[in-house]
Amino acid sequence: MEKGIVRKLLKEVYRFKNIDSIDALAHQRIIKLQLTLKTGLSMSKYSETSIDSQDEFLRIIDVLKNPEFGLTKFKFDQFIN
Amino acid sequence: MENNYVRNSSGTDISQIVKNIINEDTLLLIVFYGADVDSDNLFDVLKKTGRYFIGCMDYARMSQDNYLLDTHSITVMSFSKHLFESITFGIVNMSEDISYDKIRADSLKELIKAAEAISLDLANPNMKKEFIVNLLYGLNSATPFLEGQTQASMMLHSVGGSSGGKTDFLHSNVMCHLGIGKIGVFMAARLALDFEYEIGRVSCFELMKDIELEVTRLYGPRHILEFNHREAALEYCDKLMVPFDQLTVSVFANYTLGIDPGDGELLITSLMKKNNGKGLIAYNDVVDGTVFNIYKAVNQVENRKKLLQKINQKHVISYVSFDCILCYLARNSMNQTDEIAGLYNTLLPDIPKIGFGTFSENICGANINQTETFLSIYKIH
Repeated sequence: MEKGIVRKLLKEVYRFKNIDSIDALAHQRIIKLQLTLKTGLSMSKYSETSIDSQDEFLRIIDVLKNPEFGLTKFKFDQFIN
Repeated sequence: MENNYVRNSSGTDISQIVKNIINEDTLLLIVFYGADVDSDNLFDVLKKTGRYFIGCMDYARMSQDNYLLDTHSITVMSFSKHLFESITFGIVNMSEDISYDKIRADSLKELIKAAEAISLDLANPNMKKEFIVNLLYGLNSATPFLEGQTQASMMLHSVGGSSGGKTDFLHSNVMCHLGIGKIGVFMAARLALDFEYEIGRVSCFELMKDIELEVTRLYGPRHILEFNHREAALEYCDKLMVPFDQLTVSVFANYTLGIDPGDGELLITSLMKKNNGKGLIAYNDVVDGTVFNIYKAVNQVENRKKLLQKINQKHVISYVSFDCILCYLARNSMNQTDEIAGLYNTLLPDIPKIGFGTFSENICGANINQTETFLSIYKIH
């Protein structure tokens, strides 16, 4: 997998959710925390290093597609391929 | 201890405590009590005050600058109506005979109802003024309750803990002005113009590098059969280089499972005991495929000191602590109880403080162990 792909994905997610306000850090914290809870994968680790497994990356994408994240119109395709 | 907005008091006579801390401005009481307190009487006395209240049984509690390690005392904090713009409450039956699905659905429904009652935008909450405090029945899993809340709103900050009791794990309860029993209670609040809050967590562990334990087989939500495709207890022992016959409770307490979501956060899941030969039982529900690291326990002073110094840079008016029973037990066994209490006394001087020893702590939808989560309210003008 491309190095830093999860970090790139998360940055796009933050931009999509327009997280540029004073609440930005709090939003980012919750997104990372919820992703970790639901995938069982450390966002800290995968934000900073290359991801070894396509399956693990797809797990992250699958969880992000959950309506709770409010990303229904987010373009995941550009990251999956 | 008191200021214009918050007061606290402790003792064994709830009628006297109530007299000490309630005045015409009092809107809300938070109460923590030992396992030998007559909780039905406590509920009746609190109900007669006509105030909102939330509380729970615990293993031990923080009362201002001391830890009360007995089973018969009560500690109460009162909050003035001037602190809040709006406040509302919800309760969910968390009895052991209720299914996870039912608890999750009820939690979701109750939070949506509460949000409507105080016009709280669940999709876009004010993350400086709006929050939830959860007190959950500690002899059942907190996970479905928290999942229901997350389904209602992922972005609404929440903090709290699960009720405790004696270490026989036989009896516990939670109360609020709406009822008492094996329930989960939440308070959704919006602070008044002059106030903001902070929620956070602190634990005392350091990462053991290059050790990963992937959950590859579960028997139940808390019963781990395999790590890395090997029998869980054997793999855990091998990674730590601990002989299997020396795998004791103190090993579990000192070498815990954790996962780092990012930015230095740490979600601790502690192991309770061996089960069915080589399986392991965790204190939290675990998701299949989770990749844990192992974290080694370190002294409880340093991380707390850094946290309290940071908090005290603001004009704090109250501090509510949800601190794991395992942290209480570790402090006690290491003769650190007075030292840690003194730390709070020194670094948050003259600030009303209250807390309880939890059977798991929660923050922003995550149920965690061996951690202190907290709510701090401060004045901005």
